Amino acid sequence: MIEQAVAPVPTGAPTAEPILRLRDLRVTFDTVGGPARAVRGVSLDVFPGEAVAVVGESGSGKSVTMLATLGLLRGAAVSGSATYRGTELIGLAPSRLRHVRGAKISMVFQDPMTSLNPVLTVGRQLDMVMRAHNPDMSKKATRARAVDLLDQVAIAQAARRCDAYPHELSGGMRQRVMIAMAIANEPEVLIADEPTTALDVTVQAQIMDLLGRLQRERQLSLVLITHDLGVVAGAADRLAVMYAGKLVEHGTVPSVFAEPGHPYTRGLLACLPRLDRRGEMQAAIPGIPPSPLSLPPGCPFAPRCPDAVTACTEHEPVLVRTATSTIACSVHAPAAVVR
Amino acid sequence: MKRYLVRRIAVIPFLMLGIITMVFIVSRLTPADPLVSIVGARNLNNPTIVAAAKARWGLDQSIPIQYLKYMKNVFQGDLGTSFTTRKPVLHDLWDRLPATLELTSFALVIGVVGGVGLGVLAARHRNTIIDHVARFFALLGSSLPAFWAGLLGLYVLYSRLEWLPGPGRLDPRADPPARITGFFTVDALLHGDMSTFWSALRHLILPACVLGWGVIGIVSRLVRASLLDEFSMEYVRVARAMGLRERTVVNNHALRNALLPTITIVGFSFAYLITGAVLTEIVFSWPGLGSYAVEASRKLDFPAVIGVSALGGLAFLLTNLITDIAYAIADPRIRLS
Repeated sequence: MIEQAVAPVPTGAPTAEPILRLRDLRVTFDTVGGPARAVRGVSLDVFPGEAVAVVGESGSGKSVTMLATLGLLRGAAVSGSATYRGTELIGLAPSRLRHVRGAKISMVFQDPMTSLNPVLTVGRQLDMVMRAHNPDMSKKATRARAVDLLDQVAIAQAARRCDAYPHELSGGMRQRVMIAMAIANEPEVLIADEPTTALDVTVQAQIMDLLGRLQRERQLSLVLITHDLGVVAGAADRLAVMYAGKLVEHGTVPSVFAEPGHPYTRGLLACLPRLDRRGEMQAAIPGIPPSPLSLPPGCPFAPRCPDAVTACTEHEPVLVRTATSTIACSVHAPAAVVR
Repeated sequence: MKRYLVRRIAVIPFLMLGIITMVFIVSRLTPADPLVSIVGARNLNNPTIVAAAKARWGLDQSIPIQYLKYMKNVFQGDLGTSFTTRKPVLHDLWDRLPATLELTSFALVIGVVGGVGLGVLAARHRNTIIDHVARFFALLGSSLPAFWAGLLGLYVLYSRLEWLPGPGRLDPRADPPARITGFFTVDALLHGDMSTFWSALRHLILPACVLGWGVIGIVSRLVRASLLDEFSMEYVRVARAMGLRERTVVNNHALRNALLPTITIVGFSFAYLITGAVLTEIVFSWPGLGSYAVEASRKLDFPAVIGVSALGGLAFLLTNLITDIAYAIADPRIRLS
């Protein structure tokens, strides 16, 4: 298999050093059915103040990549490198990793119904998050800050909601609480793992607006994990598409949306519902993603790809820079050097 | 919540009447004659003595009449007089209740504290040697009969090593402290009598541990299982993602939820404690309700049997009530509805 280390530096990206740098990150789960290779060598940079969307179907490895970065996977073999401002996170001692989590890199999770502790008040949970990194903060100080944070995530009557239990809040409000927890310690990077998937459509837009506002106001680096390209358009500067544990395309949002290079990205974009084509059958990519237990030979997308040729099933393509983005596809971007 | 509580408390007297009736019927159905223990086997052939005894204890009347008379007395707060001690049953119960309460409450504390601690330890070190040892210890606790563990404990710690005193609540020569609560340890402390306190505490350790061991077994297995359930919950991952210390994640997040089912099981384990107390009290010559119940049953002492059963039933109803209240306090999702 040919592996080519193409640095995924995007066209038009900020020139600063990346704040989060993933290099050849691999995650393998030991399952009853054998090793499941969930992430197979992902390299990605996140620069200060930018929003990167990681897109893919369920099981493409996008969440696992980020969970592995923060050491939140139990019983998984993680290799490769993930550095935060030069500090290697993979294999970092739990006592030191703890000071990165929540304080430098924070995370918002998918389901606000289950991500808050049902038997503790919102204020108590915020209090614990603050004290985890500022053990000297007084109850009074954490309380005042909790109210302030709830106010910042646009929760009305913040002081009263502070004493509420999660079950007394709506799904949207719980996700706002989750976001308040995530920004409580002023992190530089916020990873949002499908933050709107479990919410009502009307609430989804509000939560995305909130994340966008916080990102701008606080100069946050936002990593937005989603399967919904519709969410990406307004929220992200750059886009990374994952399939079967690998990046298959990345580039700036405008260029990828205008000219998707990889057949999979094209398929995803074609799946977006469009108001100008009403009455037509909603497009879908035929087939299902391969199981990480038994990946097909060559390009993992080949079995579902409309453009696939025989060569696709022989070699797994590597990331190659094109005029508009970087893609891994033997047909549309044949590797310049094949040894 | 308030209305629910009032309703729960209001049904208790009716349930008590049912329990007393049941025990009354069961005791009279016993195919044996309490007269033997009242007058002695030698006098059974003496019709004058037998007739006098029957009249004295009301056994000459038909069972329905006996029942009605008994219930009439119950409503007046009289549980009858024991055939054997010749004292009012209520007096006997009041006399012996503290010994049993002291034993069971110490055992419950040992069981719950030890069980939760062991369960947390086993869950945090799942599938390691610590977990296996904890499992074995729990299995022993819930499967070894109290009389066996008690005798073994007495043999090793009393006879052989002499680390602990023998059976009884106090050293044979010591005087029990004047009754305030009836708990020797508490009363001795209240009187400022430290030597009696130590004596009472040292006597309490072994039987309470033997009795509490079974509770440790039940509680630790449940805590381990529910804690492992909680560990797989999203909010635990969130807590870790927010940089909380592992200790905080376990104690303040996961354990708080895992203790909810534990509250129920602690209520249930009270049943275990009551039956366990009977055996433990006999082994340790503990002058509580357990040994009283055994004596009463062996001698077919009807009023005493009914009295002990009614008290046990009442204890059970109250424990259930307390369990439900505790659950409602611990789980905010239940509190509202």
